[in-house]
Formats: sequence, C-alpha cells, structure tokens
Amino acid sequence: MIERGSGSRHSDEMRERALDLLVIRAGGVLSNEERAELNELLLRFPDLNDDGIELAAAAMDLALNPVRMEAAPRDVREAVARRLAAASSAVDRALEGGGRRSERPAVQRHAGWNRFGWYAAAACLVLAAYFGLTRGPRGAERVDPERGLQSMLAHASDVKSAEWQPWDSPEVQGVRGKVYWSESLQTGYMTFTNLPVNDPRAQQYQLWIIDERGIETRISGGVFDGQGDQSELVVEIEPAIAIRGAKAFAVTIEKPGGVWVSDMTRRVVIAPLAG
Amino acid sequence: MLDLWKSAERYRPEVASETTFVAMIARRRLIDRGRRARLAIAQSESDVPVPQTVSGFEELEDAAIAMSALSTLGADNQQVIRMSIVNGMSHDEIARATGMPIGSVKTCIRRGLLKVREAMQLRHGRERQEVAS
Repeated sequence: MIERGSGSRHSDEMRERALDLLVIRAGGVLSNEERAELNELLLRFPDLNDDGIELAAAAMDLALNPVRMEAAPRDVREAVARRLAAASSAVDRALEGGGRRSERPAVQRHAGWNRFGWYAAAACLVLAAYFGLTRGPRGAERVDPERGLQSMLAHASDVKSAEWQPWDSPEVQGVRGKVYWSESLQTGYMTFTNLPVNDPRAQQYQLWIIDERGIETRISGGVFDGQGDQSELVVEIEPAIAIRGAKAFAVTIEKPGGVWVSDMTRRVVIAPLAG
Repeated sequence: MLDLWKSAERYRPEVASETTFVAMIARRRLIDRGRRARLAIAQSESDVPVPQTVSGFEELEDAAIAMSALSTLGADNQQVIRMSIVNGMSHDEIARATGMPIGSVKTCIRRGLLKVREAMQLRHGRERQEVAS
C-alpha cells in the first residue's frame, strides 16, 4: 500500500471542503466568506467548476417539484407520461451499464440556444404533466398516501390540520374527515369517510386551496375519486403551483380530469385552516 | 433571458441537458434574489416565456435520471433532499424539522447530489462518446 503524504491529505481535505460548499450553494445561499473560499478552491480544483452539483440540484428540483399542470390537453399529458416512462426505463438500463442511444425514446431532439427560454417553461409544464399522470399508473413509484401522511406527521414540524365542514348547500351530506397541510413541504393529505363513490367518466372531486392570494386565485390541489364506505380514504394534496400561506381547503365536484377555473357551484366540504 | 445568455458559454452538453442547464440558471437567480420559491413561481414571475405547445420531451431526461438515482435512497433521505432542494430549507432547519443530526443531514444531501451528478455525467458522457463514434 502506498502511504500518502500530508500534502495529499491536505489536498483531499480541501477538495472535500470545496464539495461541501458546492452542496450548500446548490441548496441555498453561501455567505460572502464561503463564496470567496469556494472561488479560491475552484481555482485549485478546476474540474469541480463545471456546475455539476447545481445541475444535479436542478434535475432533482425538476424531478421532485410537485408542480401540477392541469391545463394541458389530456392527450398531450398522456403522450408525455408514456414518453417519460420510456425515458425512465432507458435511464434505469443506462445506469445499470447497458445504455445505448437506440434505447432512448423516439422523440425529436431540438438543439439551439434560442430555445432555452422555451425549454425552461416546457420543463415545468411537462414534468408537471408527468407527475400528474404517471403517479397513478406507475403505482410502484408512488408513495402510499397513508404512509405518506404518517411520514409527514412524523417529520414535518409545521403540519396544520382542520376538520372538514359542510359547505353552503353542499351537494353531498355526511362527509367527514380532515385535511393536513405542511407549508414547508408544500404538500399535505386529506382523509374522508362517507365520500360518495363517483363515476369518474362523468364527474370527479377536485380540491381547491385558498391561500394569502384569496379565493379569486384559488389553486387546484388535485382531482380524486370517492370510495363511499365507512373506511377512511387518504388522498395526497397535489398543488398546481406553490402555496403561500394556506388559509382554507375546499372540495367541489367537477368534470372528469378537473377544471382550470371552477365556478364552485357544486360544493362538497370546506376546511378553514386556523392561524 | 439575459442571465441565460450570459451563462451560455458555461453550458457543457456532456454534463447535463439544455433544459437542466436552464433550470439551474433559473434556480440560481431565484436563490440570488433570496426567494425560496419553486420553478412554478419562476414560470409565472420571471421573463421566461411560457410555451404555447408542449413537445421536446427528451430534454427532461435529466429529471428522469434524478428520479432513478433518488429512488435508490430511503424515504427519509428523499424527504431530506426534498426539504433542501425543493423547499430551500437550510441544513439547520432540516435538522430541527426532522430531528436528525445536522451532520447526517449534510451527508444525506451531499450523497444524493453526488449520486445524481454522477448518473447525469455517466449518461451524457456516454451520449457524447456515441455521437463521436
């Protein structure tokens, strides 16, 4: 075994420190001192100065961001879901060591810097569509809502909850349950008992989130179906955009797939969030 | 868009797709502004144009790579990474929220980022080699 000198160890430590700072930068803001230190270290380790860590963070952000896109036509969303499912499989194979270009989904590659702005927004929209559509069919990748709720309650310190209440002239009666919301995680869960079974080809339930922007800017929290019996139904909340200070959650009945803007005439339940 | 053009020379196709590069610039700008907002907000508040149609799905492969790499991590680790990368929580905040030692939080985030970076480099490096050959 070759014994490494103190100079080498020192260099390794500096490299590790550079990686630590890059990780911090990827998740937030460096102090002025840290930024200066990082700049100096990157001069010493130019191979780390490739934005790789921040790019990984951006890819994670795209992958994990619970943005939902509900305005896109259903056929577009379904096409996106199919292609991304194929891409995901190809990636799995690539990571196992067998990736070949021919295994990639057969889609047109667009090149050129003039498309950058387009790409950024398209990325948001398409990933949103991906999550919205594939979480159900690709059940293995979806966290079970009951486990997700338990995990959120165990790990998030800012979970607020509220009981469902009858809304003015509700279309269905006797619905009970609660809503749980974590502002920091930007996610939450709803529980229901006695939520009548719906025919998803005719109508579905849709959650609306009212935040500090008011009811006029109500935000879709996802579309779901009732199961009708006494057992508890747990549904994950999937905000269409970032929520800023949730004030209330409300459920309506809408057409299959939900709507972008609801007149909120077919009311079910509402849960004002305290504080 | 100005930030994007200024940064264009840093783009390296062997490291990431163009989409991910754009997303990185958008994140960086949000962070620089002190906003811990997400890309949905970037889309609505920035000067990045909103597309009228959706296509070019291949550009999202990096997200699929990230998902694949993240799926090998435990649920708790994924939660920590989500808190950092998506919600913009500091390591201290995550440690308080989860009860994990701050050292474990740092290690978890670092391991996840390096894992995704490695997977992206592996993928894009292969692509470049295939194109060259």
